[in-house]
Amino acid sequence: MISFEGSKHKATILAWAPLAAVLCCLLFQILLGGRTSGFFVGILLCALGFWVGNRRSDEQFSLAPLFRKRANVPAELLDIVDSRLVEPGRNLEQVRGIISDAAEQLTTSFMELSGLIQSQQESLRQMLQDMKGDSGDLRSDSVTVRSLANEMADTAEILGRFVRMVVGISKQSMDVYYCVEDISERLKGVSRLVGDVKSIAYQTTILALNAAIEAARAGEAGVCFQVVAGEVRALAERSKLVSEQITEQVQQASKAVESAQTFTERNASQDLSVLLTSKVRIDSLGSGIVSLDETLRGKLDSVSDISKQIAARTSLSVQGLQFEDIVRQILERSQKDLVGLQSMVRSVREKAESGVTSDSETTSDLAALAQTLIADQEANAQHKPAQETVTAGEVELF
Amino acid sequence: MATIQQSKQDASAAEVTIALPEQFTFHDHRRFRAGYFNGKASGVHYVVDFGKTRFIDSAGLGMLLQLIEYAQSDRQRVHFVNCAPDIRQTLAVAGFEEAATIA
Repeated sequence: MISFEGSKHKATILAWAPLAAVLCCLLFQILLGGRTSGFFVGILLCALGFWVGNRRSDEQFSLAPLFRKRANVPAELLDIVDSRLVEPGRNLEQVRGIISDAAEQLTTSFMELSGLIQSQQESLRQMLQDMKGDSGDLRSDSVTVRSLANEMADTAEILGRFVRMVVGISKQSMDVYYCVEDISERLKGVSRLVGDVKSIAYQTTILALNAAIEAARAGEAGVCFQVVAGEVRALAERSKLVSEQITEQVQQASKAVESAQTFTERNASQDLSVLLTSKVRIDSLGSGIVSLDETLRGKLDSVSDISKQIAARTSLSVQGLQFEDIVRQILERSQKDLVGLQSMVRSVREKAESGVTSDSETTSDLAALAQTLIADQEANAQHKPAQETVTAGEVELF
Repeated sequence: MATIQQSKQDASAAEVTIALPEQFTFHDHRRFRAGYFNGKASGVHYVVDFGKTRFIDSAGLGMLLQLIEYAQSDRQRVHFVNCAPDIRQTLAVAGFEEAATIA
């Protein structure tokens, strides 16, 4: 809408000036007898008033009543009107420029922002994908969730086998222990037997001595028997020696067996808590990695989702910036109206300055001008853009 | 701490129960073995009571395996009962779930 500065003051002048002009004309009429010029100008001013009044129906004053009056409008009045129309024109142009620049800036920044966010989303998606390890073109040494999961599974299996191996060895240790104990028992048995042998040897010696004594008592007849008794005694001696050697061996063997028992005892009792706990931890790590895999899949999905939402929001906001187009059209319309008004005032002034000679010429000129004005106004009304608001219709994205 | 271990046989001699001490280690080997080792009797069920047990060393695990071997590796005839959660986990990780019936 066009609005003059100090509108009330100026409006008052413009409202009353035609009336003053009419009075002046009446005066001239009385003095000079020529009504032509005053009548002519009066009609024009009334037409002006009609036209302006139509356009600004909420303004309090209207020039319509002047159609009926004759006035001799001073040139200064027209100049004032003309000059007052310049300022709004400039303001409109300025506003159009500001809005256009602002809208352009907003659009550019917005598209840049959208681009940056999208590339960020893409980086994130790529990173998650790499971590997950689903994509085929990976280097063999890259650490991904998938490779970790595989490693964990292998490690868990190996550790499981190791645990079983250790437990198996423990059992074998116990088996060995009992075997060794068995040997120990047997050796003790051997010692007892050797003891018996020794005692037998001793008794044999005694027996041989007795036999020798009897043989000596028998004299000549007992000589052979004495030899036999001697041999028996020698054998008994040898038996004793061998027994002693066996005892020696058995003692050595017993010592070795004792050592074996000590070693076995020491090895058999191991605290396996740490090993068993490790196995449990590896198993739980493995399942933890599997759930991490699931989480990554979920994150990838939500990243895709957010990217879609960003794209949708971006297009909505760009739509919003289309307001610039509509505002520009409205402003252009107003500018056009102003220009029309200006040219109208100028032609009125020209006519006033050129001076008209006869009433009929004046009347026909006035009628023609009035027709032009009315036709112009109707043409403007038809070309009003249908879209008044931003959200009213669909706007195409550029 | 005194180790308590008892071995009882029910009237029909078809079931042998051995109660283990709080720390089942190498030092209990003689008593444990004496609990079940009395000539091969087939069809006998062996019940090992872990009610008091809180720790088993490698010798203990080895001895349990010896018992299972003695029972001809028949899973149905060897029962580990009253296992605390930690002990249960130990037996599971050591691979006893396939060897004996654990309760």
